[in-house]
Amino acid sequence: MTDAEAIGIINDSMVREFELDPETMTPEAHLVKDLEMDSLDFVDLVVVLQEAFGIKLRNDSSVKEISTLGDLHDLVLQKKRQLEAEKK
Amino acid sequence: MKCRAVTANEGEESILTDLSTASRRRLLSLPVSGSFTVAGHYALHLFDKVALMKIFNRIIVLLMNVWVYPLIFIWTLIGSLIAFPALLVWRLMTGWPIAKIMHLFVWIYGRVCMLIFRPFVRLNCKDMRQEFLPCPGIVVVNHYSFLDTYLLCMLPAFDAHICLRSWPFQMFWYSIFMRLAEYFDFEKLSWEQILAGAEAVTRKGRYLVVFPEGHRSRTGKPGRFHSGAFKLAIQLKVPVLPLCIWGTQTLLPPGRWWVRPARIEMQLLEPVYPDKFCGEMAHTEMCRQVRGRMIETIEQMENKKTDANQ
Repeated sequence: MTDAEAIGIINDSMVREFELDPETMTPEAHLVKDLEMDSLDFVDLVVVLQEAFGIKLRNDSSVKEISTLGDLHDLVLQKKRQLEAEKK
Repeated sequence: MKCRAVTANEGEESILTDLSTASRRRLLSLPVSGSFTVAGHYALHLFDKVALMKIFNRIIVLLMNVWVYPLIFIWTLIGSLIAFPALLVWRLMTGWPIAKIMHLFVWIYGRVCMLIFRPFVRLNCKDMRQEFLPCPGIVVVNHYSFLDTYLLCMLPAFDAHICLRSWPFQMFWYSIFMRLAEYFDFEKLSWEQILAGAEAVTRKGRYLVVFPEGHRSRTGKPGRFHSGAFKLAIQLKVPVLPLCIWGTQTLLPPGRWWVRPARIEMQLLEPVYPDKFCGEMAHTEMCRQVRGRMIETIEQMENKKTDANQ
Protein backbone atom coordinates (compact mmCIF):
# COMPACT_ATOMS: atom_id res chain seq x y z
CA MET A 1 0.00 0.00 0.00
CA THR A 2 1.41 3.37 -0.95
CA ASP A 3 1.30 6.42 1.30
CA ALA A 4 -1.31 8.05 -0.94
CA GLU A 5 -3.55 4.99 -0.68
CA ALA A 6 -3.16 4.95 3.08
CA ILE A 7 -4.08 8.64 3.26
CA GLY A 8 -7.11 7.91 1.11
CA ILE A 9 -8.21 5.16 3.50
CA ILE A 10 -7.76 7.45 6.50
CA ASN A 11 -9.83 10.21 4.91
CA ASP A 12 -12.54 7.86 3.62
CA SER A 13 -12.84 6.18 7.02
CA MET A 14 -13.22 9.53 8.75
CA VAL A 15 -15.76 10.78 6.20
CA ARG A 16 -17.80 7.60 6.63
CA GLU A 17 -17.62 7.30 10.42
CA PHE A 18 -18.00 10.93 11.36
CA GLU A 19 -20.05 12.09 8.33
CA LEU A 20 -17.50 14.77 7.51
CA ASP A 21 -17.55 16.82 4.33
CA PRO A 22 -14.85 15.39 2.02
CA GLU A 23 -14.05 18.89 0.76
CA THR A 24 -12.87 19.90 4.23
CA MET A 25 -10.41 16.99 4.47
CA THR A 26 -7.24 18.92 3.66
CA PRO A 27 -3.90 18.28 5.41
CA GLU A 28 -4.09 21.79 6.93
CA ALA A 29 -7.54 21.18 8.41
CA HIS A 30 -7.48 21.48 12.18
CA LEU A 31 -9.15 18.43 13.69
CA VAL A 32 -10.97 20.38 16.38
CA LYS A 33 -11.53 23.84 14.87
CA ASP A 34 -12.19 22.86 11.25
CA LEU A 35 -13.45 19.28 11.44
CA GLU A 36 -15.25 19.85 14.77
CA MET A 37 -13.99 16.69 16.35
CA ASP A 38 -14.52 16.31 20.07
CA SER A 39 -12.90 14.08 22.67
CA LEU A 40 -15.27 11.20 21.94
CA ASP A 41 -14.47 11.42 18.25
CA PHE A 42 -10.79 10.99 19.05
CA VAL A 43 -11.57 7.83 20.98
CA ASP A 44 -13.60 6.54 18.04
CA LEU A 45 -10.87 7.60 15.62
CA VAL A 46 -8.37 5.35 17.40
CA VAL A 47 -10.77 2.41 16.95
CA VAL A 48 -11.33 3.25 13.28
CA LEU A 49 -7.60 3.45 12.53
CA GLN A 50 -6.95 0.24 14.42
CA GLU A 51 -9.54 -1.55 12.30
CA ALA A 52 -8.22 -0.05 9.06
CA PHE A 53 -4.47 -0.51 9.60
CA GLY A 54 -4.05 -2.81 12.59
CA ILE A 55 -2.03 -0.16 14.42
CA LYS A 56 -2.48 0.42 18.13
CA LEU A 57 -2.86 4.04 19.14
CA ARG A 58 -4.95 3.70 22.29
CA ASN A 59 -2.23 4.38 24.85
CA ASP A 60 0.10 6.23 22.51
CA SER A 61 1.05 9.65 23.88
CA SER A 62 1.84 10.99 20.40
CA VAL A 63 -1.92 11.04 19.64
CA LYS A 64 -2.29 13.98 22.02
CA GLU A 65 0.19 16.01 19.97
CA ILE A 66 -1.67 15.89 16.68
CA SER A 67 -3.70 18.92 15.78
CA THR A 68 -4.21 18.83 12.00
CA LEU A 69 -5.29 16.15 9.57
CA GLY A 70 -1.78 16.23 8.11
CA ASP A 71 -0.35 15.43 11.56
CA LEU A 72 -2.72 12.47 11.76
CA HIS A 73 -1.65 11.24 8.31
CA ASP A 74 2.02 11.46 9.36
CA LEU A 75 1.42 9.60 12.62
CA VAL A 76 -0.54 6.79 10.98
CA LEU A 77 2.04 6.38 8.21
CA GLN A 78 4.83 6.27 10.80
CA LYS A 79 3.01 3.62 12.85
CA LYS A 80 2.20 1.64 9.74
CA ARG A 81 5.87 1.56 8.71
CA GLN A 82 6.88 0.49 12.22
CA LEU A 83 4.33 -2.32 12.12
CA GLU A 84 5.58 -3.47 8.71
CA ALA A 85 9.18 -3.36 9.93
CA GLU A 86 8.27 -5.46 12.98
CA LYS A 87 6.54 -8.05 10.79
CA LYS A 88 9.67 -8.41 8.66
CA MET B 1 -36.61 44.29 -7.66
CA LYS B 2 -35.36 45.82 -10.94
CA CYS B 3 -37.68 47.91 -13.09
CA ARG B 4 -36.34 48.76 -16.48
CA ALA B 5 -37.76 50.60 -19.49
CA VAL B 6 -39.10 48.08 -21.96
CA THR B 7 -38.15 48.32 -25.61
CA ALA B 8 -39.25 46.22 -28.53
CA ASN B 9 -35.73 44.82 -28.85
CA GLU B 10 -35.57 43.45 -25.35
CA GLY B 11 -36.33 39.79 -25.00
CA GLU B 12 -39.29 38.56 -23.02
CA GLU B 13 -36.84 36.86 -20.67
CA SER B 14 -35.37 40.16 -19.50
CA ILE B 15 -38.84 41.52 -18.63
CA LEU B 16 -39.53 38.44 -16.55
CA THR B 17 -36.41 38.83 -14.44
CA ASP B 18 -37.19 39.01 -10.74
CA LEU B 19 -40.94 38.57 -11.16
CA SER B 20 -42.78 35.91 -9.15
CA THR B 21 -43.89 32.58 -10.65
CA ALA B 22 -47.54 33.68 -10.81
CA SER B 23 -46.58 36.95 -12.46
CA ARG B 24 -44.47 35.14 -15.01
CA ARG B 25 -47.35 32.78 -15.86
CA ARG B 26 -49.65 35.75 -16.42
CA LEU B 27 -47.16 37.46 -18.71
CA LEU B 28 -46.38 34.32 -20.69
CA SER B 29 -50.08 33.79 -21.39
CA LEU B 30 -50.21 37.06 -23.38
CA PRO B 31 -50.04 36.79 -27.21
CA VAL B 32 -46.44 37.08 -28.40
CA SER B 33 -47.04 39.55 -31.19
CA GLY B 34 -47.22 43.13 -29.94
CA SER B 35 -47.03 42.01 -26.35
CA PHE B 36 -43.89 43.83 -25.33
CA THR B 37 -45.52 47.18 -24.62
CA VAL B 38 -48.40 45.56 -22.77
CA ALA B 39 -45.95 43.39 -20.81
CA GLY B 40 -44.00 46.47 -19.92
CA HIS B 41 -47.08 48.21 -18.51
CA TYR B 42 -48.07 45.03 -16.71
CA ALA B 43 -44.58 44.63 -15.28
CA LEU B 44 -44.65 48.19 -13.99
CA HIS B 45 -48.08 47.57 -12.42
CA LEU B 46 -46.82 44.38 -10.80
CA PHE B 47 -43.73 46.24 -9.62
CA ASP B 48 -46.00 48.54 -7.60
CA LYS B 49 -47.73 45.55 -6.04
CA VAL B 50 -44.44 43.81 -5.30
CA ALA B 51 -43.00 46.97 -3.76
CA LEU B 52 -46.15 47.41 -1.68
CA MET B 53 -45.92 43.82 -0.50
CA LYS B 54 -42.30 44.37 0.54
CA ILE B 55 -43.26 47.47 2.51
CA PHE B 56 -46.16 45.58 4.10
CA ASN B 57 -43.87 42.69 5.06
CA ARG B 58 -41.40 45.08 6.65
CA ILE B 59 -44.18 46.67 8.67
CA ILE B 60 -45.24 43.23 9.88
CA VAL B 61 -41.67 42.42 10.88
CA LEU B 62 -41.42 45.70 12.75
CA LEU B 63 -44.74 45.07 14.50
CA MET B 64 -43.63 41.58 15.43
CA ASN B 65 -40.43 42.82 17.07
CA VAL B 66 -42.23 45.65 18.84
CA TRP B 67 -44.75 43.08 20.11
CA VAL B 68 -42.45 40.17 20.97
CA TYR B 69 -39.40 41.70 22.62
CA PRO B 70 -41.13 43.92 25.19
CA LEU B 71 -43.58 41.16 26.10
CA ILE B 72 -40.81 38.57 26.44
CA PHE B 73 -38.88 41.02 28.61
CA ILE B 74 -41.90 41.68 30.82
CA TRP B 75 -42.74 38.00 31.09
CA THR B 76 -39.11 37.15 31.93
CA LEU B 77 -39.10 39.85 34.60
CA ILE B 78 -42.37 38.62 36.10
CA GLY B 79 -41.17 35.03 35.90
CA SER B 80 -37.90 35.88 37.63
CA LEU B 81 -39.69 37.72 40.44
CA ILE B 82 -42.25 35.02 41.18
CA ALA B 83 -40.02 32.01 40.50
CA PHE B 84 -38.36 31.81 43.91
CA PRO B 85 -41.49 32.29 46.04
CA ALA B 86 -43.34 29.88 43.76
CA LEU B 87 -40.46 27.40 44.01
CA LEU B 88 -40.67 27.48 47.80
CA VAL B 89 -44.45 27.08 47.86
CA TRP B 90 -44.40 24.26 45.30
CA ARG B 91 -41.67 22.46 47.20
CA LEU B 92 -43.61 22.70 50.46
CA MET B 93 -46.82 21.53 48.79
CA THR B 94 -45.46 18.70 46.67
CA GLY B 95 -42.05 17.76 48.04
CA TRP B 96 -40.73 17.62 44.49
CA PRO B 97 -36.97 17.97 43.96
CA ILE B 98 -35.89 21.51 43.07
CA ALA B 99 -34.69 20.47 39.60
CA LYS B 100 -38.08 18.94 38.75
CA ILE B 101 -39.92 22.06 39.90
CA MET B 102 -37.60 24.22 37.78
CA HIS B 103 -38.25 21.97 34.78
CA LEU B 104 -41.96 22.60 35.20
CA PHE B 105 -41.46 26.36 35.55
CA VAL B 106 -39.22 26.44 32.48
CA TRP B 107 -41.86 24.48 30.56
CA ILE B 108 -44.57 26.96 31.60
CA TYR B 109 -42.27 29.88 30.77
CA GLY B 110 -41.70 28.44 27.31
CA ARG B 111 -45.42 27.92 26.72
CA VAL B 112 -46.18 31.54 27.53
CA CYS B 113 -43.35 32.65 25.23
CA MET B 114 -44.93 30.59 22.44
CA LEU B 115 -48.24 32.34 23.10
CA ILE B 116 -46.46 35.67 22.72
CA PHE B 117 -45.07 34.57 19.36
CA ARG B 118 -48.40 33.12 18.25
CA PRO B 119 -49.83 36.08 16.29
CA PHE B 120 -46.83 35.88 13.95
CA VAL B 121 -45.79 32.23 14.06
CA ARG B 122 -47.73 29.26 12.73
CA LEU B 123 -46.69 26.27 14.78
CA ASN B 124 -47.59 22.79 13.57
CA CYS B 125 -46.78 19.95 15.98
CA LYS B 126 -47.00 16.38 14.74
CA ASP B 127 -46.84 13.13 16.73
CA MET B 128 -46.14 14.96 19.97
CA ARG B 129 -47.56 12.01 21.86
CA GLN B 130 -46.46 10.37 25.07
CA GLU B 131 -46.15 7.01 23.28
CA PHE B 132 -43.28 8.54 21.26
CA LEU B 133 -41.70 9.73 24.46
CA PRO B 134 -40.94 6.63 26.56
CA CYS B 135 -39.38 7.51 29.86
CA PRO B 136 -36.49 7.68 30.47
CA GLY B 137 -34.95 8.63 27.18
CA ILE B 138 -32.57 10.96 25.40
CA VAL B 139 -34.27 13.51 23.17
CA VAL B 140 -32.04 14.54 20.27
CA VAL B 141 -33.02 17.73 18.47
CA ASN B 142 -31.66 19.40 15.35
CA HIS B 143 -30.62 22.98 15.96
CA TYR B 144 -31.30 26.06 13.83
CA SER B 145 -31.99 28.79 16.29
CA PHE B 146 -31.58 30.03 19.84
CA LEU B 147 -35.37 29.76 20.06
CA ASP B 148 -35.25 25.97 19.62
CA THR B 149 -34.84 25.61 23.38
CA TYR B 150 -38.09 27.53 23.90
CA LEU B 151 -39.88 25.11 21.58
CA LEU B 152 -38.97 22.20 23.86
CA CYS B 153 -41.96 23.31 25.93
CA MET B 154 -44.17 21.80 23.22
CA LEU B 155 -43.05 18.32 24.27
CA PRO B 156 -45.75 16.43 26.20
CA ALA B 157 -43.31 16.03 29.10
CA PHE B 158 -41.54 18.71 31.10
CA ASP B 159 -39.06 16.87 33.29
CA ALA B 160 -35.97 17.22 31.13
CA HIS B 161 -32.35 18.14 31.67
CA ILE B 162 -30.90 20.01 28.70
CA CYS B 163 -27.27 19.67 27.62
CA LEU B 164 -25.89 23.01 26.46
CA ARG B 165 -22.67 24.74 25.66
CA SER B 166 -21.20 27.25 28.10
CA TRP B 167 -22.41 30.46 26.45
CA PRO B 168 -26.13 30.23 27.41
CA PHE B 169 -25.03 30.00 31.03
CA GLN B 170 -23.53 33.48 30.62
CA MET B 171 -27.02 34.99 30.26
CA PHE B 172 -27.42 36.17 33.83
CA TRP B 173 -31.22 36.43 33.62
CA TYR B 174 -31.45 32.71 32.84
CA SER B 175 -28.29 31.19 34.35
CA ILE B 176 -29.55 30.80 37.95
CA PHE B 177 -32.63 28.92 36.70
CA MET B 178 -30.55 26.75 34.40
CA ARG B 179 -28.30 25.77 37.28
CA LEU B 180 -31.26 25.05 39.57
CA ALA B 181 -32.71 22.94 36.77
CA GLU B 182 -29.38 21.06 36.68
CA TYR B 183 -28.78 21.63 33.00
CA PHE B 184 -25.48 20.24 31.78
CA ASP B 185 -22.70 22.52 30.62
CA PHE B 186 -20.99 19.87 28.53
CA GLU B 187 -18.05 22.10 27.62
CA LYS B 188 -16.95 22.10 31.25
CA LEU B 189 -17.61 18.44 32.04
CA SER B 190 -15.53 15.38 31.28
CA TRP B 191 -17.08 12.38 29.58
CA GLU B 192 -17.12 10.51 32.92
CA GLN B 193 -18.96 13.39 34.59
CA ILE B 194 -21.51 13.57 31.77
CA LEU B 195 -22.04 9.81 31.94
CA ALA B 196 -22.52 9.90 35.71
CA GLY B 197 -24.92 12.83 35.43
CA ALA B 198 -26.90 11.20 32.63
CA GLU B 199 -27.12 7.98 34.60
CA ALA B 200 -28.55 9.87 37.57
CA VAL B 201 -31.08 11.59 35.30
CA THR B 202 -32.29 8.39 33.68
CA ARG B 203 -32.41 6.59 37.01
CA LYS B 204 -34.87 9.23 38.21
CA GLY B 205 -37.04 8.59 35.17
CA ARG B 206 -36.29 11.90 33.48
CA TYR B 207 -35.25 12.95 30.00
CA LEU B 208 -31.99 14.27 28.72
CA VAL B 209 -32.21 16.72 25.82
CA VAL B 210 -29.24 17.00 23.50
CA PHE B 211 -28.54 19.05 20.39
CA PRO B 212 -26.07 16.64 18.74
CA GLU B 213 -24.86 19.19 16.19
CA GLY B 214 -23.34 21.09 19.09
CA HIS B 215 -24.21 24.47 17.57
CA ARG B 216 -26.84 26.11 15.42
CA SER B 217 -26.70 25.24 11.75
CA ARG B 218 -25.78 28.17 9.56
CA THR B 219 -26.55 26.48 6.27
CA GLY B 220 -30.25 25.77 6.72
CA LYS B 221 -29.49 22.04 6.70
CA PRO B 222 -28.73 19.83 9.72
CA GLY B 223 -25.00 19.70 10.37
CA ARG B 224 -22.87 16.83 11.49
CA PHE B 225 -24.09 14.98 14.60
CA HIS B 226 -21.64 14.28 17.40
CA SER B 227 -22.09 10.78 18.70
CA GLY B 228 -21.99 11.50 22.44
CA ALA B 229 -25.76 11.33 22.98
CA PHE B 230 -25.89 7.98 21.22
CA LYS B 231 -22.98 6.62 23.21
CA LEU B 232 -24.91 7.60 26.35
CA ALA B 233 -28.05 5.89 25.04
CA ILE B 234 -26.18 2.66 24.40
CA GLN B 235 -24.29 2.68 27.69
CA LEU B 236 -27.37 3.58 29.72
CA LYS B 237 -29.65 1.33 27.61
CA VAL B 238 -32.23 4.06 27.02
CA PRO B 239 -33.93 4.97 23.74
CA VAL B 240 -33.09 7.95 21.60
CA LEU B 241 -36.13 10.13 20.88
CA PRO B 242 -35.57 12.15 17.69
CA LEU B 243 -37.29 15.54 17.59
CA CYS B 244 -37.27 17.42 14.28
CA ILE B 245 -37.74 21.17 14.12
CA TRP B 246 -38.07 23.22 10.95
CA GLY B 247 -38.70 26.91 10.46
CA THR B 248 -36.84 28.47 13.37
CA GLN B 249 -34.03 29.40 11.00
CA THR B 250 -36.51 31.85 9.46
CA LEU B 251 -37.78 33.03 12.83
CA LEU B 252 -34.37 33.83 14.35
CA PRO B 253 -31.25 32.49 12.62
CA PRO B 254 -27.74 32.79 14.12
CA GLY B 255 -26.25 36.23 13.66
CA ARG B 256 -29.56 38.12 13.53
CA TRP B 257 -31.29 39.64 16.52
CA TRP B 258 -34.63 40.65 15.01
CA VAL B 259 -37.35 38.03 14.58
CA ARG B 260 -39.46 37.40 11.50
CA PRO B 261 -42.82 35.69 11.02
CA ALA B 262 -42.36 32.02 10.36
CA ARG B 263 -44.10 28.73 9.93
CA ILE B 264 -42.62 26.16 12.28
CA GLU B 265 -42.98 22.42 12.07
CA MET B 266 -42.16 20.05 14.92
CA GLN B 267 -42.32 16.29 14.83
CA LEU B 268 -41.35 13.54 17.22
CA LEU B 269 -40.13 10.45 15.44
CA GLU B 270 -40.45 6.90 16.69
CA PRO B 271 -38.00 6.02 19.45
CA VAL B 272 -34.78 4.27 18.45
CA TYR B 273 -33.76 1.57 20.90
CA PRO B 274 -30.10 0.80 21.56
CA ASP B 275 -30.43 -2.99 21.63
CA LYS B 276 -30.46 -3.01 17.81
CA PHE B 277 -26.89 -1.79 17.72
CA CYS B 278 -23.82 -3.71 18.78
CA GLY B 279 -20.06 -3.56 18.56
CA GLU B 280 -17.50 -0.99 19.53
CA MET B 281 -18.82 1.56 17.03
CA ALA B 282 -22.51 0.94 17.72
CA HIS B 283 -23.03 4.55 18.78
CA THR B 284 -21.75 5.96 15.48
CA GLU B 285 -24.03 3.59 13.56
CA MET B 286 -26.98 4.64 15.74
CA CYS B 287 -26.00 8.28 15.22
CA ARG B 288 -25.93 7.85 11.42
CA GLN B 289 -29.31 6.11 11.34
CA VAL B 290 -31.03 8.67 13.54
CA ARG B 291 -29.52 11.58 11.62
CA GLY B 292 -30.62 10.01 8.34
CA ARG B 293 -34.21 9.68 9.55
CA MET B 294 -34.24 13.20 10.89
CA ILE B 295 -32.89 14.65 7.65
CA GLU B 296 -35.56 12.79 5.69
CA THR B 297 -38.27 14.21 7.93
CA ILE B 298 -36.85 17.73 7.83
CA GLU B 299 -36.74 17.59 4.01
CA GLN B 300 -40.42 16.61 4.01
CA MET B 301 -41.14 19.57 6.29
CA GLU B 302 -39.21 21.84 3.92
CA ASN B 303 -41.10 20.52 0.88
CA LYS B 304 -44.38 20.92 2.70
CA LYS B 305 -43.54 24.54 3.39
CA THR B 306 -42.53 25.07 -0.24
CA ASP B 307 -45.78 23.50 -1.47
CA ALA B 308 -47.76 25.69 0.88
CA ASN B 309 -46.07 28.82 -0.53
CA GLN B 310 -46.92 27.98 -4.16
